[in-house]
Amino acid sequence: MSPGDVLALDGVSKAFGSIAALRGVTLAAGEGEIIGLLGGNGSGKSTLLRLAAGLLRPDGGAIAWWGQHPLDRRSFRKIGVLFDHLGHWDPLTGYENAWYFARSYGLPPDTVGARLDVLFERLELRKRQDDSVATYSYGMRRKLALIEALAHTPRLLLLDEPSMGLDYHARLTLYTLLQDAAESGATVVFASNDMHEAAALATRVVLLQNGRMVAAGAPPALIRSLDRAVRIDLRLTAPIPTDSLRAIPGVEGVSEETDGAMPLLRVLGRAGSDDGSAALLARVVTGVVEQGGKIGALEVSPPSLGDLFLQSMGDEP
Amino acid sequence: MTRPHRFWQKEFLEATRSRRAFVLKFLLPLLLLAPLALWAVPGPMKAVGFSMAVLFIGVFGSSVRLIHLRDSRMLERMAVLPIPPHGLAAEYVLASSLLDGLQLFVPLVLLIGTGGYSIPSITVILVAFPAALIGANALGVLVASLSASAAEGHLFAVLSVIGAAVLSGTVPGMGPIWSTWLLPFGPFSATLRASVDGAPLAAVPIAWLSATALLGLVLVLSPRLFRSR
Repeated sequence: MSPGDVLALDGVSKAFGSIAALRGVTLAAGEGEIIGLLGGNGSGKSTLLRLAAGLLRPDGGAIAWWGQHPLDRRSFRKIGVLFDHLGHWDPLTGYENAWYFARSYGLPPDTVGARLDVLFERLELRKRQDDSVATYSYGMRRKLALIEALAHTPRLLLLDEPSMGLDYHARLTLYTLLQDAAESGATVVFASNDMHEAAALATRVVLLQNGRMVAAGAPPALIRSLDRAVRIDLRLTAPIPTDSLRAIPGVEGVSEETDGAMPLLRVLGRAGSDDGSAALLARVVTGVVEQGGKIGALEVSPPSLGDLFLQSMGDEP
Repeated sequence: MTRPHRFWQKEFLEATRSRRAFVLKFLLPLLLLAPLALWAVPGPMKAVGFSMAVLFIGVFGSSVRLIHLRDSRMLERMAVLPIPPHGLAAEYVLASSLLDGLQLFVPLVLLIGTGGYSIPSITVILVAFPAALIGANALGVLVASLSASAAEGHLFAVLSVIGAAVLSGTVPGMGPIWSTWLLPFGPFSATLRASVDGAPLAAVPIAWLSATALLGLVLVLSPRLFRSR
């Protein structure tokens, strides 16, 4: 931990009964950083955020805000939290909800009013701000929760899947709001399952797996760490068993999607230093054909952050 | 008051916002308790009925709502506000007591108006009434903080109401005499029962002391209530 850290976790562990949710995670976030927490379901992202928000006490290790340990309750004024659930007072209007929470941070009425006007406008909730929250859709409730998290201009933002449920336009607005906040010196830590979002938004990503931090760094650097990695996307006319493909030398991860007319088989592999990516491609195509697969389309591309995620999932015990 | 910034304002706004909530919170107690006040039944029976209503509304109202807020994770949402848990818990008890008082005030006035109480008795009743409400709501919060689920909460609330009714002498002839003045409901229910003399004025500070002690216990246990699960 260094004095300049806005948020610092030092060897933090947390278990729920016999389930270890977080195991010895060390992470420091400075001013203006946007940190993306990535990982599969149950990897520990939400637990990490709840610990960072002071909602849970760690079983081991230490957490500090602005160098203060134990956590100082007065610092809550500088922290904005977005949960993965929708906590609102349903009988009240959206504006009344946002007003109540913003005023709870001790802001004067004029400041709250001006700030809420801007946020309701930018997140396109102004027309419905005086309607009861009970009438809001899921996406509107998420927008309101974002407004509540941002209204007091926090210096540390802890956001659990902030874009979940948002339409495309609201997502872009969210990204702009978070980037603006970071440019003004705020620290943003967010959990996401969207690799593209994390790659586009985060200055640093942290990959969690089974409560452990398995990779961390700037997205371009992490992608470069996939040295000689190749992504092969195969559109098949029918699904095939994939177990044998995983055994092919050089193949590090295989995933399947059935979103289109033809199933998509995505193979992440690492080209050998002596035979190159063409040989890996040949081995994969041969393997598919031997399993009875018929290839409708094929694309070879450089790896992405999602491939790093897939690779780590492939390593999962 | 359209923009609440204190918990009690928000609670009041919520209670009055919908017609259904208004009917349930204000008209229903009136419909249930007004006949009790007006019917020609013995005074002690009226007193027992009204005292039990205070206990039920206070304990169940607080505990069930708080468990719902915890299960819907609203308490977690509140826990990240820069307000300490004891501040939130105190606001909750006081806001709930205020709402309960508004619900029960008209039936209480009817009861007093038809009960033939002396001026000192009315004074004791009116001063002990808020103490009884705060005590019942504090008991409800304690029930919620000790319950792991809604089912447990209901069970503990029933046991608490029965225990408090017996110990405070709200149900005549049951419970030890010494405990009548130790619970904040004791002076209130005793004065309601004794139609002329009632409880001595000296009992009122004791009722407030015990209500404050229950509230203090709530404040001590409040971090447990707002702890994330």
